[in-house]
Amino acid sequence: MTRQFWNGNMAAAQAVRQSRVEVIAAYPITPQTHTVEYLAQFVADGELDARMVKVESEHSALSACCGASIVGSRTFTASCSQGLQLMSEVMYFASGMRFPIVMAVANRTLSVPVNIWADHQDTLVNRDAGWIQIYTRSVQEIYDMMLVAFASAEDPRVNLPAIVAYDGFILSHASEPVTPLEQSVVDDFLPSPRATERPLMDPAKPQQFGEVLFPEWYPDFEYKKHSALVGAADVLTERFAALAELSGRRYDLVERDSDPGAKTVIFGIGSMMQTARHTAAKLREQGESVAVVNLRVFRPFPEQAVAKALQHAETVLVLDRDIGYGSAGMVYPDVVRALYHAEHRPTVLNFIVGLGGKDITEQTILRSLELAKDGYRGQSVFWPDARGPQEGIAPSAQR
Amino acid sequence: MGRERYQYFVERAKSTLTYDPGWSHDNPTGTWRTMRPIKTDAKCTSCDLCWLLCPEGSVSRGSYAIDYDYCKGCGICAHECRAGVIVMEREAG
Amino acid sequence: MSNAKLLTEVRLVGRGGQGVVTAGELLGAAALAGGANAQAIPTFGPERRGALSSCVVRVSPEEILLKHSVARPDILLCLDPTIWQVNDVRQGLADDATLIFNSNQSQESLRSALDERGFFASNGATVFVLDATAIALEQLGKPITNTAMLGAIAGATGLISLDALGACYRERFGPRAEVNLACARAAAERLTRLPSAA
Repeated sequence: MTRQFWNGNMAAAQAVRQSRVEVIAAYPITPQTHTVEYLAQFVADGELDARMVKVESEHSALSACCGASIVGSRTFTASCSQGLQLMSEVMYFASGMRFPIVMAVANRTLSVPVNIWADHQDTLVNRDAGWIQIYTRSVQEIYDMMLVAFASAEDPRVNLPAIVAYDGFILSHASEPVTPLEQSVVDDFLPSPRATERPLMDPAKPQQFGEVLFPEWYPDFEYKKHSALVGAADVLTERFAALAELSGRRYDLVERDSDPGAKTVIFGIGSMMQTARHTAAKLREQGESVAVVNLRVFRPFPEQAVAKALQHAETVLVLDRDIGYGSAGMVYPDVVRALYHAEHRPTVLNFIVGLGGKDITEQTILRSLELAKDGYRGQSVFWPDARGPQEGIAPSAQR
Repeated sequence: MGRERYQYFVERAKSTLTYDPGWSHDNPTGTWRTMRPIKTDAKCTSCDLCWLLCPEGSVSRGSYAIDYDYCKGCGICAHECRAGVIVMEREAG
Repeated sequence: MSNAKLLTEVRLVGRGGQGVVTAGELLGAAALAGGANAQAIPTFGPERRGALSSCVVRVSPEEILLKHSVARPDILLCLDPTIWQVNDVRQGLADDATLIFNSNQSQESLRSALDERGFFASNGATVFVLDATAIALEQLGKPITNTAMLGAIAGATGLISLDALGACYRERFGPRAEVNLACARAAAERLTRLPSAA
């Protein structure tokens, strides 16, 4: 197909349309709203044979998706920010019930203060809900990852819900070139929704699902759920390879920009990693040894792949567009875990950037690199684009 | 509410990230009209329609003076004026 | 880096309801149709009709990696006649930028209003002006100037062509494409260049 000029929400909606989703239930919230509006239009125009379920809240939206998924429907929802928080309770239910629901999240921070712009707070606080979490850096990647999400979530080895996250406004509302796949190619890439091997409910023969499990067996159940999510890494890798074959676009759990021997590595998730790549490329031209490693899949966390990608680094800057209040950014602890047993353990520092949609520019990246030059001096978490630390406000809060 | 008491609330509000309570009166909305209603010399019959139908409340009753600080130039007054007193002209900008 | 030179940044400003975001998307699509890479990032606040609305469009022959709306615009396109008088739309403006204004003021009064707000400070700027509102009122019967102002970019800079713009209008507007394309053509014709500093 020819190159299109789509915004992020349109790319997500088009991928959902081509995935032949059967049930959609969502509640509007900025900046996700267009995704569902586009899908409603596709359904109204007869371009997508799906049932749009109108609901009164996000909690109901995901509940409706669960109901649709239990009878085997391919199911989609979308949300972000406060809406995602309202869904949170049902998210654990969806993963426990092993429903391969796919959700698009146009990342937006959490109130208060009220703010509609991008950071990863909303999805990262739900990191332990048992969902696959895939992050994207461009509009093309949103389209591609939506397809990978359906293919991986529904794989019988996985059967878990998946989130495809993209930065609100900066990707959701930004238009970029997208080369979509032909419908027939998408059809081959995705399993037939009717071929599912998971236990389904036959409405004609009602059964009870999701009932009580006593302590004796509870850990076993949780272990199976955890193992399925860990194992999803292999399935995702397979699907990335399959997609590369069809599209020529290569993805991996962890993606290394260039220069495997670089001394300084910038690590993180989301659209800011593109700006980081742009900045690092400039620095390399000036003879500096800087590379960028992008974490595409945050859950399951690809521990070995992260350790491998960072094995030659002396300093790793983990950029977090989020903050785990009272601790550090939420990507940082996992990276430290991955590197703890490494042969040459690098210095790993954490940079809290771009909260509430603050633009992450080349200056933000350069300032982070500057702060990292001194290495670890009893402080691991830095706020390069916040006024507080620069103006000497509450320095103890940074320790 | 007395001025002092009002200031007290303003200061309190600032500390919890609330702006001074504003109202639309402080915020002239008539700066981006494309068309401007002009009263001509035609004989006004004081029928009140312009005053009654202006969605912005920008027409004074009696004098039928137009408050250009808030008039958005929608043209309803000119459209409804039976006597042809009000006409719309391009705004300079 | 060579990339910096190849990259053209455009800032479109107007008021909510005037089609600034649509203009950004169409500009990017037209650049794409012309074979370049493009990206259009609208900046949003709590939306309100009449408030400042802006969009950054990047055009480059190479892949565009920058993902933020802070720009050093080479082209500034003001869809609204007065928005640049009430909001500072000059942040980061390149010294040799091309500025395109929609105005029905005389050249002298526009010139002094621009001077007053520092638009000629660098002396390197190229300033174009046209009465896009009049064109829109003639052709569309509505003061929606976005499709006309894109014609002005085509006429003033060659960043996009009227042909590419026409193709994008046809895809976007269907039966309303021709009248919008007429706006763009009229804008490209009526564009006048303001003489540089005396």
